[in-house]
This record gives sequence, C-alpha cells and structure tokens, in this order.
Amino acid sequence: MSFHPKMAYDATFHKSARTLDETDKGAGPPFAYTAENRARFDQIVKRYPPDRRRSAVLPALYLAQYQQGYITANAIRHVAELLGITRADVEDVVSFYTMFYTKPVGTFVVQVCRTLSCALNGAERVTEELTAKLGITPGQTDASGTFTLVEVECLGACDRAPVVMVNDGWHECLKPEDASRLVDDLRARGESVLSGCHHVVELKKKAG
Amino acid sequence: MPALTIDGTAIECPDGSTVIQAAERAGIFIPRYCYHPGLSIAGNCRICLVEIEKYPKLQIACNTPVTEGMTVHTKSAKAEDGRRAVLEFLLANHPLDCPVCDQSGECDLQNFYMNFGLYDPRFREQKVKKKKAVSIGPHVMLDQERCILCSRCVRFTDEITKTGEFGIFNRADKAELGLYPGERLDNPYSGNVVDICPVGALTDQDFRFKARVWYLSSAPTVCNGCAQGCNVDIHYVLNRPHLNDGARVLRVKPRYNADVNQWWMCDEGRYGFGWIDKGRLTKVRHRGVESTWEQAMAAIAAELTKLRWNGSRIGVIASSQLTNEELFLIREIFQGALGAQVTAAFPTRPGFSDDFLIKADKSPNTLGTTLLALDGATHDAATLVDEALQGRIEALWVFGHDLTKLGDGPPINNVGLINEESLRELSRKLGLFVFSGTNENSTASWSHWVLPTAAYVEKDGTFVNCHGRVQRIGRAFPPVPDCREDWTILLEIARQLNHPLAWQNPQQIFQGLTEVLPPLAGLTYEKIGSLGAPLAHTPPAAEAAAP
Repeated sequence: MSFHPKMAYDATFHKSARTLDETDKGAGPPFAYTAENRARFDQIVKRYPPDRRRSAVLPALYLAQYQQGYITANAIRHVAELLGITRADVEDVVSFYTMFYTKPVGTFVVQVCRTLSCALNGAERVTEELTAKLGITPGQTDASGTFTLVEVECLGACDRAPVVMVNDGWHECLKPEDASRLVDDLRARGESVLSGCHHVVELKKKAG
Repeated sequence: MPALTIDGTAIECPDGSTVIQAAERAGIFIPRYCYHPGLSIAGNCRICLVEIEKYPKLQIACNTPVTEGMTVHTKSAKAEDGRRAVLEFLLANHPLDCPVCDQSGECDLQNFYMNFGLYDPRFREQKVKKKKAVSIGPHVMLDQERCILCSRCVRFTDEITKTGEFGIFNRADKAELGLYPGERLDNPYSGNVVDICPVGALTDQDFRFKARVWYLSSAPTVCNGCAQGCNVDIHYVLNRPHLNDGARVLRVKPRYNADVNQWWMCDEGRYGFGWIDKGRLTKVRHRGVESTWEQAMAAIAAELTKLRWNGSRIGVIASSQLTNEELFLIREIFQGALGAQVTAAFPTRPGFSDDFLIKADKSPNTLGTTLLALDGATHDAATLVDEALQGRIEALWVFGHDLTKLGDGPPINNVGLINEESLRELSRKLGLFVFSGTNENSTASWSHWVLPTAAYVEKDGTFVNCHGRVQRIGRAFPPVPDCREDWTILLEIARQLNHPLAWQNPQQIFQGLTEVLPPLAGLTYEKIGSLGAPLAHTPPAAEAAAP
C-alpha cells in the first residue's frame, strides 16, 4: 500500500525554471548605465577595497533596476563587466533575491507581507481585496502596466501588521477594507499617500 | 599546537586546524559533502555535525577551529541524530535514480545513508523537478535533480581554474546548479568537477553508462601525457569483454600527490587513454607478413651481428615515452655493446601549456633521456634519418615514433620528420628497419620488422618528471596477448648478441641504473613507492624547465 498522497501534478507544478531569458531576443534592450548612474556606481564601488569590488553587486543591480525597471541579461552583462566578475556570479544574486525583477513590472509594485504577524492580522484578506480590485493575482501585472501585485516574506514591521510595501515605501496597518482605497489613492496621488515607516515619521516629528 | 580529545582519543594538531582535520589525524572519519581539502570552506551541507562539550548546539566540524582542551564527540546520540536529520533534508528532493545513475556505487549519499542514515523516509510529497542529462560541455553531464548544492564545483571553477562557469541560481527548493545561459564548461580541467561531485549530479560523458563502477579494478600509475607526470589511478575491466568492445581501460582518475598534482589532473590526460585499447599492434610482422617472436629476434640479432664491428652504421631512435629502465638497456646494448648511434631526441612541436599542471613537453620522461645522455647533444632523430637516407646507416630501430609525424599532435603541413615518400625510400635503402611500438602508424607499415610492445600501463618502470621526481608507473594489467614489454625484447636481443645482461626484471635493471647514474644513487622501488621520490640532485635542465 502506498502512503504517497495523490497530488495535482502538471507541467508547472513544483518545477524549477530559470527566470532569466537566455535567448538574444529575450536579453532585452541594450543596457548601459546613464552618465548619472555611472557616477553613482563609481561612488558605490569606492566603498569597497579594490580586491572586494564584487561586494558592490547588490547596489549595482539596484541601480540597474532603478534605471530600467527590471534586470535583463544585458544589464547582467553590463554589471558583470563593470565589476570584473562572471555573468553567472551576477545571475546567482539576481535569481536569489526576490527584490530583483527579471520581467517588466508596473509603476507601483505592491508587495503584501504574508509572514506570521501580518498573516494573523489579515494579510491574506488584503491580498484578496487587492486581487479583486486590480483584477490580477499575485505575481501578475495589470493590463495598463500600473500595478504589479506580489506576496513577500517579512518586511520587518510586524508591530504595524498587516504591512505592504509599494516600491520602496512602507504602508503600515493596512486593513483589508482600506486596501481598495489605497489603490485609488496611489492612482491619484502616487507614492505620497503611503504612511511610511512610523519610526521614521516619529523621528521626523521629534526633530520638528 | 592545541591538544584536544575526539571520541576519547587525545590528539594534538597545528594551530588553525579545524575539527574535521584533527579528526582525520586521529583516524576518525567525519562525513562531508561540501568540505574538500583542496577548496575553500563553504560549510553549507551540514553533514559534518559534531557535538562539542560546552557548545549548546551541534557544530560543523569543517569550519570549527580547534581550541586547547576541546572535547569532541562524533558518535554521540546527539551528533548522530543531527547528521541523520541533515541527511533526510538533503535527500528530500533527491531522485531515486540510483539504478540508472553512474555515480551509484561510489556515491556519498548512498554511503552516508548506509553509515549514518538508515532512517525510514518520511517525505511523501512530490519532489521538485529539474533538468536532467544536460550536456554542459565536451566532457561533463549535469543532472540538476541529483545535485545537493554543496558548491564544490562552483568553488573549483572559481578558485582552481578561475574560470567561474558555475553558479547556483534561484532559491530554496528551486535552487539549482547551472551555467550562465549560452556558456559551456570547456576549460582544460573540467573533468575534475566530476571527481569532486559527491553525488551523481556531474558525471563523465566519456564514462557514461560504460560500466557499473563495482566492476572496475584500479591500479596506481602515472599519466604519460606530459612532463608533469600527474599521479593517476587507471580504472579497468578485464573480465567483461562484452562491455565497450572489449576495451579494458574505462577511465583515469587523479591520485592525490601533494608534490605533483594534488587532487587534480587535466582533461588531456584524463581522456587520452583510447589508444591503449584501439588500433594496437598485436602481431609480429615481417614485411607485412605475420611472423613470430623467435624468428624476429633471431633475424634482427643476426643483422645486428653483421654490423657489430661497424657500430656507427646502426641507428637507434629511442623515445622519451620509454621508461628509464628501457632507455638504460638501449644505451647498454646499442651504444655500449654495439657502438651504435643512439638518440631519444625527436623533434616535437610544443603543445598547450599553462602555469598549473599542463606542460608543453608532452613526453613523460624527457628528463630521463637527459640523465642517460640520450637527449640528442650529438645527434638527434633527424640526423639519423638523414644519414640513413644517404646510406651511411644500414640498420635503423625506431621505438614508438612515427617518422612522418612530429612528436606531438597531428603533423604540420602533413609532414613530420620525413614524408611518406622518403619513408618508402628509407625502407628500400635500409638493410634492417625495425619498428617497435604499441599502435599502428605509417612507420610500422613501412618497416621491415614490426614488434608489438606493451603500453605503459602494461609494464613496470620509472619516469622522471619535469621537476626531477622519479615516479614508478607500475603495471596495471598484462599486455595484449603477443605484445611484449620493451625491456624483455631488449634483454632477449642482448642474449642473442652474446652480450647477456644479468637483470631479470625492471626492478633489477633499475638497481643497475642507480649504480651508474649518480642522481639516482640510493633509490629503490621501495623508496620510490607510490608517490615517487626526488632525484638526489636535480640536473640543471630540470631547474630551467620548472616554473
């Protein structure tokens, strides 16, 4: 008798796939840092000793992502060449961290925390609300290219759960019923509607 | 020198040692996947967990430095439980490929499961699917499912070859070993990743499905591919002729020697063994007709006797592929007794070389020919052939070399020492033209006598590598039927020339050699052992050649 449970199994289930497009067509548009970003990169590299240049790979990739919105094979090549490491080294990092996107994303990347504290405070319902409002499931980008919805692990603001992160800004204590309004506000007024990290907000208040 | 106790054994070890090294000194084996003494420490496989007193948790032995008075338990219940749990995690996504996996039988997952695991599997879920049988280069096949992400191969290409082909992509249970899209694992040392892979993720395309590893026998020898003389093990099968068209040698693996090649060897040497079983000369031939050893020996000796008092009309082209013992016999018989012109200098085109293991000189015993003064100071193969074409040499014996090719690789512009036409003329002019060698070639087809000889793995003897290290090649298995070792042929010729030599085997010949050659003084086969021994003093040529 087999103890093996019957599980759904299809071509996509539990299958490993590299997200990086390997073809020339998928390598994206030609990539090089703009003059401004190149200056920033040169500043970043100075933080590390010359024989530890590779340590700059994370900020260098963030720069590329700020410039282009996502990381392409061409961007990987550019970063690898500038840092003097192999492309495999760079792809290693890109594919490990969920913060790097290898496909185009929307103007606002809404990242809902699904780790314990947020989950207990209704993060799943936040995701459901956002899914209903935007008409996309986590991992997808809407047709207009405005919103990308993703679920992420702990964002480090458990005391203000549930928390979502939109691009680089926090929005804390997002009740499921407010989720839909957040989308409208973002559309209307952009990232300024985010409540931000309360520590930062309070520190600013104290400083007057 | 901190002193510590491992499983009740007191042991002292050098500062900076790790627990796994200390245990090895104490003769205690701690399992390991990611740890490799030739690579940096990664500490990611966790199978080497040990219990250390006063540490609240189990520690990894590979990355915990020893301290004075440390007490380590490798076999306590806590340590064994920890290891078993780690193994269960490592095997969670490992496919049950063993029946069709080349690694089966020499797989550390199998070995450690039997030694340290033996749990009832609890993983009932679907395993993650990844890519299988991906050819990632000319020599290596990748199976991503079998990989346990120990990163040994990644560190090998980063640290040893510095080519950095490998990477580990994605995260968690989707993490996979791979190459950057479009890249290939094509460096001169790529085969080593197969050796260091503790599981069946990286397997050898050349050896793939040729034989189950438990059919293989192993014999220590020395690679004859270049002057470095990497220590290797020959893996062969003698009693299964139905495998691989009866080929006996199935693969070559590097053998650890701290002074020569450490754990590594190059692909050129690793995959260059095909000639041992393919295209071999198997019969004595006289002008294209099958003959016997008795006839050949008698006829050749008779011809040589005719020229006995006119030794300079005999030419011998020896080879730096021959052992010291054989070169010594050639010198004794031909130069000593007959007064013939003997050389082992054959024009070669320098091959590929690098600053790691591969040397441009593709002969394993060039330094041996130098020691025996056969390296062509007075004449080389070209002058001998020239003299023979002009009729000043009447008898020519060529050992192994194909005169129409240069010493290494394919001939340049299809011409080596001489072209096919001159070879034919040479054959016509000479009174005696002997070729003794292992494989069929043009010189064999134009010589009067063809003597099939044993390949280097079929005979005993010594080589001297480019650093002046005397290394014994041993004898893995007997020669192909009707092939003879060069030294037995030479001893027989000496007997027939009424110049009998007292030696019976390579060991005795070597003893004779040590008595006349000061750099070898005091060496014996016992002293050379399996790891070789340096020359008493290195000749100047070796110092110039060594980096």
